[in-house]
Amino acid sequence: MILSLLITSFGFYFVSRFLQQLSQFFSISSQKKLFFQVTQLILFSLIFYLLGKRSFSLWCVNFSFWLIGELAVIGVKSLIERRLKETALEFIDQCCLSTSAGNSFRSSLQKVFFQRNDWCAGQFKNLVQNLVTSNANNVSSTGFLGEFRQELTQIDRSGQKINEQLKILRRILKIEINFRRKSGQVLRNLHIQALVLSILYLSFIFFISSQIDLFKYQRLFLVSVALFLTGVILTLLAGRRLKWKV
Amino acid sequence: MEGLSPGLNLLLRCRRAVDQGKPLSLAIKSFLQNETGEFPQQVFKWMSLFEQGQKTDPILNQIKSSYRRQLLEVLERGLKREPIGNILVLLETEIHEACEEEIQKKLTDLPYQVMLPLLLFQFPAFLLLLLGPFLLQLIENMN
Repeated sequence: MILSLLITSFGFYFVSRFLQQLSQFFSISSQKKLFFQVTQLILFSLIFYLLGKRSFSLWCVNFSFWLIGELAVIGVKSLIERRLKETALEFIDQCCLSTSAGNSFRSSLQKVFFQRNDWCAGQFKNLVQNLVTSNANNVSSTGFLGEFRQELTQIDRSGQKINEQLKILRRILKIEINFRRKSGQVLRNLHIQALVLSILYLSFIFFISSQIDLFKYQRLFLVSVALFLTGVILTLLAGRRLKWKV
Repeated sequence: MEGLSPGLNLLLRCRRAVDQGKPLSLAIKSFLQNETGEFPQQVFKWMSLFEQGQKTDPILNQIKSSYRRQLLEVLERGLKREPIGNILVLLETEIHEACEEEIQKKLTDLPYQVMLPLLLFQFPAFLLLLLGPFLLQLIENMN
């Protein structure tokens, strides 16, 4: 019983850590945070109730939570960051246009950031709202949003050559997005190859197992799987080894 | 490799600071705070040596990329209050082009790099599954 409780608390901790890491990359309202926490509590109580007596299944479920969480953080982080940067670029474009037309920086920010209502725009609204009402320090965001907030605050405080500063920010963001897209292409090719081959291999296994009894050829099957996994791991490692030399 | 090259990243931050009339050291510190990896560590050591008034050559000699080395040399001059705005603009163009070339080279080399695990491991894995049972059956029948 105590062991099961311990394993469940590990799973609970992993999911909490995952949510905590995600909240560093984008802002989550306190209501949504509460909702996630309550759902998490209910989910783990249910898992404990259903699998409490089966330690191995409990281990498997909690290990899967850990594995999915770790992988999801990497995927979600880069996806969200890319979308946020692209949205920020669009906003800066519009801000440049608005300040060129003679509007003040703050009114341009308000006008531009409150026009759209999608999720990405929502991430910036809180930030801009605090900047406009001079409560910039109250927003706690790290990662790209945090850096973007700092940039906007600095531009706002400097009070001069706003348009030029916005253009510099836009140029840097454009270079960054452009390079991220191009360098991402290198890794994407690797990942796509690994994925397509894995799907092919799995379908191949299903096909072969429908034709012959694979249990009769257990060793052969295991050697084949080991070879294939080594290939996949080496392909993925080739992607990890790619580093900038310039 | 996803994202900006560390050298270009540092250069863009410094160029921005110069354009805005802010101290170069602030841009370098912000780079050190936000980035991780080998180059930021080297920059950290380089910065520490510079602040202590020592020669930075030992660190610069450890850096393999001539672009990064050149950038740090220029930044050192900037930290000594020499005007480096125009040099940074030229250096940015050079590094930008070098990065583009590197990506192209990686994209060209990639099929060959990926071919190795494919030919040595994955293709035999498929063959083993496809032909293995039949070959074993054949050998058994022959015996």
